[in-house]
Amino acid sequence: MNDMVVTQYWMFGVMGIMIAYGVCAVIGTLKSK
Amino acid sequence: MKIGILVAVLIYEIVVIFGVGFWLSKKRNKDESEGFALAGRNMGLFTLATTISLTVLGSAHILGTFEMTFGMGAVAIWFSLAHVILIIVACFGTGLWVRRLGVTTVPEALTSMYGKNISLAIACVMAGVIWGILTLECQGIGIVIATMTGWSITQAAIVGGILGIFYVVLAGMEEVGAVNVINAVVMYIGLIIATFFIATKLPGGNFDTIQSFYENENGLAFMTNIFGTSELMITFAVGNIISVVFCQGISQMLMQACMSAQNEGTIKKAVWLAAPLNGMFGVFAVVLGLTARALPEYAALGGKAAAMAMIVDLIPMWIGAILLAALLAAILSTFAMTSLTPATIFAVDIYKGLFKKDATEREMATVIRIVVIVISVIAIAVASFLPPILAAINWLFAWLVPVFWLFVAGLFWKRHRGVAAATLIITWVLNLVWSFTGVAGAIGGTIGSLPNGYVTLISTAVILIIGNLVVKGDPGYWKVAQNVESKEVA
Repeated sequence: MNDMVVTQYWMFGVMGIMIAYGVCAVIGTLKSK
Repeated sequence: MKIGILVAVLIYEIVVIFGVGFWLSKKRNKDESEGFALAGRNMGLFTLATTISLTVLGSAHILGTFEMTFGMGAVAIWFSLAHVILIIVACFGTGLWVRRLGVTTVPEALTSMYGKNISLAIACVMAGVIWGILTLECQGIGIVIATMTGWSITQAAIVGGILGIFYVVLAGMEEVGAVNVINAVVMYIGLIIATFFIATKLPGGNFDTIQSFYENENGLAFMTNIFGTSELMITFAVGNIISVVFCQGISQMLMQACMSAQNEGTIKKAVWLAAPLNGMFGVFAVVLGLTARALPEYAALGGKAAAMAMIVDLIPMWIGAILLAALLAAILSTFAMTSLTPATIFAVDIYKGLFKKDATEREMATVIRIVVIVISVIAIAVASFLPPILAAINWLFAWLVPVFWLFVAGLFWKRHRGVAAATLIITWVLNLVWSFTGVAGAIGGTIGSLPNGYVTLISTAVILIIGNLVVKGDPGYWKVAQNVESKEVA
């Protein structure tokens, strides 16, 4: 079943982009209030 | 280094990319002089069916299916069959609904249902998911370039990624879309021709020897059965159906095609052409993947490179060159789209939406360019980890499963921002736990090996149903938007 296992480093990369966008969105929302 | 193929591929790219650019500029001038709107809702049956079918036919259908077939056999065809189910769902469900809503984008519909904050959270996760697909496109370019040059996939992915960045900067969005459709057609025909040519090169001129290889090889007989083993059906086939249908079922690209249909009847009829056209593609990819796995000289190259190397070796050079060129151009187009979309989300929703409301078009274009370059460079770096393409796609799609159900519940049942927020947060946290902790391993067995799509689907169902039963909420969008519907249908 190794074919189904996705490298954790790669998943961290995707998470990194989501978090970076999320942090910008939160800062932006707080600043615009 | 296969110089002949390399030159032929370069010529194809130049002719298609510049040819399409020239044709579009002529068309634009003509349309402007005759006063036609570029985006009318008037797409006819044949164009709509082929657009729906080809929009969801990407490089993963070739490279991902080759790779999965190599590892687990004919059960890999369920990636294609999941897309057939997706097209049915879009043509009889979501596609009709967005057409009836009269919206231009899916986020627009979500914002009017659940408000700006929920929509923004979805946009952030969606940016990550699309960026994940970008890393797979880098790997795809790497595989194609490695086939032609003999470099390692990692080296080729770095060179390919840099080429991709140049392509995004040079080609406009409209061109990218047009190039994609042309390449999907060429890829489709090329793969069918390649399958027949390879059969003629095998003993007896057919695939009988391949069939008997799997029957005689110990423990490999399941690989020629599209139902594989029961474990593969549960973990791979059903997992694919969940993530493909419930993520792509409201994807902007597919919905955009449905929004441009002449009327709802056209969308319903389109399924009869779009679904088989898309589904059949998988048959050829699986046959080629199984063949490469059975021939030792190609099997030795591993799942990612075997089938492409076999195709280039065994079919006439001109067909191989056209197939590789179309595949490369298709991947470049997807590269462009998947790098532009997160950049546009950042520029529109975050930069202009939150930080600088009076940003000019010029500033926005600069922000988009900078973000494209930054995220593409990170994608090239991450692509060198070479995750299995279909497994990675399923992992990515699993993130957006709750969004599909929020859309459906919001249309037909009830809308409540708190329930929507709880559904998204809890589902995404559980998805992280399933991905990064040892929980799945500790559970073990079939349940422990279930892909993330199951986790996000079950979590969404439980929280959304209980939440909507407990809280009052606003009535479903449809119930208050009947007047919009009757206006649209008329």
